Amino acid sequence: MKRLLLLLLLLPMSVMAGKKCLLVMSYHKGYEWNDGIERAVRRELHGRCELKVFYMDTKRNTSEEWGKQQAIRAKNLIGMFRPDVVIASDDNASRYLVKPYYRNARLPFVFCGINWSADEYGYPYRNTTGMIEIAPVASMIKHLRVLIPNVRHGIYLSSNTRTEHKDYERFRSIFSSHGIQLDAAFVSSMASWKTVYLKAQKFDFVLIGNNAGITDWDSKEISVFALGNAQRLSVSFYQWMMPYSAFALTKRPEEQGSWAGKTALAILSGLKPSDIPVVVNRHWDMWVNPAFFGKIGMRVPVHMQYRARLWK
Amino acid sequence: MEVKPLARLSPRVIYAFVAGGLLLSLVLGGIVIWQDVVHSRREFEQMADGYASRVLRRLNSNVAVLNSIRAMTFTLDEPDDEQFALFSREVLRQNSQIRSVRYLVRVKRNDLSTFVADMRKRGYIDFHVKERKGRRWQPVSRHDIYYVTKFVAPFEPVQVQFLGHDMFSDPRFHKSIYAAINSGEAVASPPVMLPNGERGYFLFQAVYAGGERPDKLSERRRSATRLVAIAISIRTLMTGLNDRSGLGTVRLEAMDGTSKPSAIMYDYRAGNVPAASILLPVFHFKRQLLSGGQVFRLSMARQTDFGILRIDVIMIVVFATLLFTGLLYYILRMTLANRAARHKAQAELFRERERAAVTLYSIADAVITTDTDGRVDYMNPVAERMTGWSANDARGAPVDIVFSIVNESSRSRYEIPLHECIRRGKIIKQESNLVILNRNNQQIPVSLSIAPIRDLDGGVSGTVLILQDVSQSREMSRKLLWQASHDGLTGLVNRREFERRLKYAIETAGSEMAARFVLYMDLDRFKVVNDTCGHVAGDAMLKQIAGLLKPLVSGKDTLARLGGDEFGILLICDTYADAEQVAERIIDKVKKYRFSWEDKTFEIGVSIGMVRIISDEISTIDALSHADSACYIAKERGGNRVHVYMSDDDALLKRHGEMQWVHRITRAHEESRFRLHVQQIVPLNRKEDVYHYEILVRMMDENGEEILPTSFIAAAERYNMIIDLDKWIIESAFSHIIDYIACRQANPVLPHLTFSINLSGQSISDPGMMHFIAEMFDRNPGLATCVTFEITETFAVSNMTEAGEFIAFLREKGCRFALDDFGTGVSSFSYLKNLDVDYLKIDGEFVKDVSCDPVDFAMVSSINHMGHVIGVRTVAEYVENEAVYECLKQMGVDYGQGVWMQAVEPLSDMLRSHLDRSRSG
Repeated sequence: MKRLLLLLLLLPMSVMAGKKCLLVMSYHKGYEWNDGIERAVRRELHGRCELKVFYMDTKRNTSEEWGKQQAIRAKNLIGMFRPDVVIASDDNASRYLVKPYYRNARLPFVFCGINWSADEYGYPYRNTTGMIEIAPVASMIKHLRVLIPNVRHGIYLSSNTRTEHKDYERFRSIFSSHGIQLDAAFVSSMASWKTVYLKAQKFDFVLIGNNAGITDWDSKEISVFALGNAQRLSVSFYQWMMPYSAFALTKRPEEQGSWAGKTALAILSGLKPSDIPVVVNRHWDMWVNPAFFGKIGMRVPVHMQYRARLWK
Repeated sequence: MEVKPLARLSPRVIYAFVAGGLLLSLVLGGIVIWQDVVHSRREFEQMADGYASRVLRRLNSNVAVLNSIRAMTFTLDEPDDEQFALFSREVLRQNSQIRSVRYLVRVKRNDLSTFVADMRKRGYIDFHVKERKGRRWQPVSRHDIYYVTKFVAPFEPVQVQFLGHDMFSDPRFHKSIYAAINSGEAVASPPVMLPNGERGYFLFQAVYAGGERPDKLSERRRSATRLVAIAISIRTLMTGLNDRSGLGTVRLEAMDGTSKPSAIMYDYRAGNVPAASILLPVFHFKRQLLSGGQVFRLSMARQTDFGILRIDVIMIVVFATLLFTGLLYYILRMTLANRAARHKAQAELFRERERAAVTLYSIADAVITTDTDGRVDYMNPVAERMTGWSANDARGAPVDIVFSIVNESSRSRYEIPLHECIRRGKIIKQESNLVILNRNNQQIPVSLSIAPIRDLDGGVSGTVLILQDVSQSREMSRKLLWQASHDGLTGLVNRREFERRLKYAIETAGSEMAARFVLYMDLDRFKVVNDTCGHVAGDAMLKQIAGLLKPLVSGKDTLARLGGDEFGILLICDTYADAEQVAERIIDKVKKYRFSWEDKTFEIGVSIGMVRIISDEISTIDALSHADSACYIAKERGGNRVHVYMSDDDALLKRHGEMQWVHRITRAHEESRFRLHVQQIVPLNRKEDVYHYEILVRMMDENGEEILPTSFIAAAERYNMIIDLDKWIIESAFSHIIDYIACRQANPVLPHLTFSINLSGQSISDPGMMHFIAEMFDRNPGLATCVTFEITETFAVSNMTEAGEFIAFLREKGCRFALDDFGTGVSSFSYLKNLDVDYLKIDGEFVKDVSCDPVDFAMVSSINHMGHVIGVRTVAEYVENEAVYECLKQMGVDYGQGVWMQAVEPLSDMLRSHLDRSRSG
């Protein structure tokens, strides 16, 4: 009788314990990019794999120590949870967890949100595959050439984080390859951002980088400020920076999460990680902020009107 | 030869009908099934053809899709990931059979590393050009040119494996890609297993640098910098089509260059078909489809099932056919039955007509049918002979032209009552006194019967006349009538008729002017002739005397033989003198007459007593008695004289005459001068152990001479002495018979004897006689069975009740009865049915000339036949020669009696002879 009762109690667990997936998020819950990836992963794995999410929260805690501690916690969680596959979202998860502890391990990892290159992490391993996150820089350059036919010189305004620096290097290289000089200004406070923004109006365009890491950021204030002082075309690769930009080509965190979820399922179904090439994201959204276009006295081109989504 | 119709259907015919009906229903049902199958086959072929067309369109739509991808690729110098992904997503969404879209770029060997580096720089960090070895990937081998997969859609982990895949080096695709490059057209690969495990194929199309397909092959090869390819799932392609449920098995095979199937790309089999459906045909459809340079063979086969059959129609057809067959069978049976019935009716009618025709042809009567106007329709042969007309000549002629009928007596014309018969609708008979006058002026006595002929509605449509030739019967009746009133020997009126006429004369004596006289004549010395030469001679002489007397009387007078040698004349004349004159002429004539017999000549005389009938107060008996007495006086006075009876000597004469016979009979009794004789009644056509005899009585006169009963019986009857005489005869005869019975009991060898005893009418009427005889029978067992009483037909007919009671009473005792002198004075046999007699004794007057007189022959034959019909044996008297004997024998008369067969002999002599024979035997 006892055995029967035990069997009845364990039955739901046995059903749930079909496959286990662990999502290790580099950032914290509430970070928009981070949330987009998680949403997509959950959607893909829903009903097919028991999912646990671990947040490393390295966006708000940028120290190496924090990152390493969080990696140990994640590793412990892996040891306890014994997932069949682990999804490592964004760079810090790979940096602090995958690379030190699971390089070519038996546990398969799917990484996503790795900006531009995975070279620093030594990807690909035998047990890893994933999606590299790249910004649509080439497309941005094409559109800039349409909007500003003689575009020559621009500035990248961003928070002062490792990722932003890394992105800048990639942007600069590409812009440079297209004959456009891209300078950069990394700020850590809203005031600095305003200062740089005002100075940036003398460039052909302003590339608005990520504000993550600017702790005193006041969105409403900045949006008013930015619009009020806008004289040049401001563009961005981040959707959440559209209140301060006239035009943006934005990546989709859902694409990263969706791919990671699908790849995890493919691995669970039998594919080896090494058989799945590392890919890059391919989709992005075009945004137009008509207020900014009006402020700087520029008309939105027709082909953009057909495709772009308006920011209100 | 008569062909009998098929009245009833034989089992074989019925079986044939059942089998035929079933066969017909099967054939018709089969036709419906065949039509259904044909219809189903047509539907199948149309469906299969449509399906094939849809498959082909679908295959070709892939080419169109590939063309659109190629066009997209061409319009962009180099599509980026997003552009390719967006376009491919739409392609995949709208074409479910397309499992993946690939974009391949040509990379020369020298550019390979640069290409790989560029791809890695774009983010594909582990990108490399690879080829497939079995299920494994390996770095691409060394080639001059690679067509490397750069983009793949859908962008899913399973598909992105193929990024970097050099399909050109893959032997499965090499020829197809090469052909695509060379042709510029979409070219299908051989069937392959798609990454998702489905069977399918790839379509390749080259994208040439500069857009347009170069004309030259070398240029095409050189400028084919890119390829687009789509992977097509055959299962999805086929199942994505419209309903294929009616197709059964669908198979799509890829054909190789030798027109042989290289691989089964799709094989679909519908659900299980009922086992019974294998009885139905399988429809096949094959078509080769060319798409993308690849030849496909699309095969479809469907095992038809019973669902295609219009079961209701088939059932209706089968049942209708069976019903029709049953109806046909019923009609045939009814037709045959009707025909048989009609044939039977016709045969019956024919038989009836034949029977009627034969009957009419054979019938002795003339049959003539007429229409309602009295015109002849038909005559049978007898009618032809009777009328002197042939049937053909007579047809249509009025009956009264063909013949006429007159009253035999009055000779007046008799109007044939045809119209009366038609009007009344009843049979009209006229049996007497008709004579037909025919075409040859012949007269034939006939009886006529006219009957209406009725049609089906009961109306009269004509008449049938039956004319029966009654010549013989009428002659017979005439003779019977004559014999009843005449003496057979002499042809003169007999005593009965004489007495009748005398009675009439007496009754009319007062009213007639002429006087009437009775002359009673008795021949003198007649006994001498009789005794000397026998009865035959006596009879001959009597006949001559009759002939002698006839001329002496006029036609209005009546000459009669009153019995024996006594004659009488009822004379009508005015005076005694005239009467005496006649009597004297008679005496004179007889006196001069000489009778010669053999060598003897006899003289005879006649004594005549005459009496005048003065008034009607005298009776017939008295008148005769007076005449008899006068005759007796004339004889006593010497004969050959006439004595006229006068009223004044009436008492004397009367007493004298009567007393003579009373005295003689009484004395004979007293002196026992009556003798019993017998004459045997011999069976004519068979032997019997029984001897039959008739007892006859003889009276011996004073001189010992035998007096025949004809002389004294009449007087004995007249003076009421016959009862005593009968009693004496009975007692005497019974005494002998009883003795003989006793002897026979003692000596069983003695034959059985039966005796016929004549009884007078007076004895029968005497109640004491019946009881007397009964008492004798009661006292003497075995006596009655030896006795047959003969009573005269005349008495029996006249006293039917008395005779019947007498016969019935004594028959109870065991004796038999015979009707004597049968045939005299009768015209009907009907009374015989009321008299329970055992024998008919045919009157000798008919018998003695039966061999030479056809009327007598017919009479005897009729009596004999009639007697046999009613179960009575017949006895013929007066068998006096062999011719008569043979005739009677031929005729079938049972017994004969006569002097030629057996003479009269004394009873005692006969008994003694039997006793002697028994002793000697």
